[in-house]
Amino acid sequence: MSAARPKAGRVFADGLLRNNPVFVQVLGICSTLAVTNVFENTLVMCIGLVFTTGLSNFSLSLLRSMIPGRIRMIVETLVIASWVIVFDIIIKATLPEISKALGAYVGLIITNCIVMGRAEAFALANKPLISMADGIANGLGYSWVLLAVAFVRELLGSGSILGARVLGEWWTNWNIMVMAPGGFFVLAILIWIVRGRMERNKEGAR
Amino acid sequence: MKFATKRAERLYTILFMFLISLFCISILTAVYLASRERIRNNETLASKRALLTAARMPVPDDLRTLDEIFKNQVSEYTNVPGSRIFAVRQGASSDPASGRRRILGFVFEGRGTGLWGEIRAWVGVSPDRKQLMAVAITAHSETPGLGARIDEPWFGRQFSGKASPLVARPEKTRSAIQTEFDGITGATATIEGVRGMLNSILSNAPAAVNLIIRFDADLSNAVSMHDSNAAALTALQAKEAQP
Amino acid sequence: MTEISVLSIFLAAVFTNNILLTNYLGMCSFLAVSSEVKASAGLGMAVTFVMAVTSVLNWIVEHHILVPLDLVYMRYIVYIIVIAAFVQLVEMIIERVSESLYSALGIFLPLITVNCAILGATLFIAIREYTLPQAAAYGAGGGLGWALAIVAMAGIRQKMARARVPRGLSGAGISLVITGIMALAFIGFSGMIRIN
Repeated sequence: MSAARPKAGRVFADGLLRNNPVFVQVLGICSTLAVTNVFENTLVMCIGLVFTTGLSNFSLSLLRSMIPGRIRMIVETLVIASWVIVFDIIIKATLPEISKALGAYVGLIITNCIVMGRAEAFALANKPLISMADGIANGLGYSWVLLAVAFVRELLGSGSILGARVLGEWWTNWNIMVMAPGGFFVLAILIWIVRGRMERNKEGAR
Repeated sequence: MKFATKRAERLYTILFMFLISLFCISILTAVYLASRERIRNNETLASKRALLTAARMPVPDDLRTLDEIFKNQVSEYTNVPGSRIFAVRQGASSDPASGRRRILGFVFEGRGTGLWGEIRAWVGVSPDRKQLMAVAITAHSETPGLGARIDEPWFGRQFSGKASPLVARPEKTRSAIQTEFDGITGATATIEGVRGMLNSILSNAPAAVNLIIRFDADLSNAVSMHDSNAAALTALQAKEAQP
Repeated sequence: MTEISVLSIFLAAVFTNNILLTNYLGMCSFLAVSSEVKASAGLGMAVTFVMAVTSVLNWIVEHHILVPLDLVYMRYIVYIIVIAAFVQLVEMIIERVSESLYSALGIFLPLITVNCAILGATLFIAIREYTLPQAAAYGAGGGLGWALAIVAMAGIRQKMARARVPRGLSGAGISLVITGIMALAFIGFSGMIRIN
């Protein structure tokens, strides 16, 4: 992070593309990749992640001058876990069925490396609002990748998007897409495409 | 001097940790208490709706009608050890003289073992205790996209009229044979669990219903009325079939 | 209630329902550390130990503190604190007791608190309503399965070091592809073990 005050536009560009947490740092795919075989579940998980990164970055940045260095990590964990619980309660009250389908995975947002990583790298050194923007940008950067994976997996694996059948009866579902290996392969291919393009751009700039 | 600042620092650390924990916990408790009622309502609502689905009853959207149906038409029996059984009756009487209401079916609480853990369901059993009406899965922890598809409506609905011993066929077979139902590709363990659960309910249903009607004269009448009607009907059909 | 046998939970957690290969948990440290067999084995051991013990600890906390006090909604915070405190404790004990063990495992312990596999195993146990022996079996098996996956991965990656990989795919990309193939291979175990 540069010493100068970061601008919101730059923060978003970084989070969504240039420094995208999934492509560049390959962080935090664990908690969400498991639910990417159903697009709707992925969408809710991603909203949860954006909610948590944004708000935990905001609140930790507010506290940043007060947190004693020695217990920094545990305070971060406490704040992040609190926001995750708030999100969990909200979806339990409003979307009971999806909450049931997500099960343990909502809680696993706590250990998503992106949340803690952004708190450490950005929120503790910057002002609250810009920290919140950074959190949201990184959350969104992560979300679009995971949603792309979910789109491919649900389309090929179940022939549907958001539960609505898109491909006709002639389509034979690729069960491998619904099962775990499919997630690994789709993400790997996506990383290949995006990174390959990034490298070519770099060479072009040179 | 150095000692004093170190001590103050330590005290501050502990105080800070204590205050922030207190703050987080009180906020969470407030949010939880504010939404607890709603979450519980959601749960009972979902369970009641599923129960009506298992009995092949129309499911109303508003809470009022739902409560009304449960008050008038659904009665729970707990005198069979280890299981919950519900009897579902007609809303209005079809026989004004006696005021008796026909029995629409029984709903059993089913518990089976899937790939990852327990599967719970409401299982509708027809008034003659021999066939299924529908199955509504209420809780499971199966793999999303594979085993978890047992909670899709088509899966529970296909059991209408099916009887023991059930056998799973490949998905989309849509077999007309009474003992065959469609499984789900890639979810063999889950389907086995469901099959075992349904077969055991079907084999226990006649005895369980006999046990509950012993303590409920009205229900006993309704069931025997159903049985005699059914017997008369089969006799009539047999007669018509004869040349 | 229908019981799932302890042995089949253990075997399923190691092979067919491997927490890393079917639930994608613990990917971060998996991708970061798996380039060397020795380090992977150390991390794998540490994860197995912590997961086995915290699964049991958290089960006790869940059933004897959270449920009676109606504090289940606080589950996430309590679990993560139990895990963090336990890891800290182990680190302190190992440091005092054995220097060689500390140099082998000590450096990995801080990584473990934020390892999603540990919290994940605990949450799965709570949601699937396992009994105490089942929870212990799942915790030990899950950790062992994770260790198995990371050591196997490290072995493959060492062999891969001289292979030519397309540029955009090198690093994380090829690791994911290998993991995917490993996950496929592990699905092959499913005929062998069935929970029922």
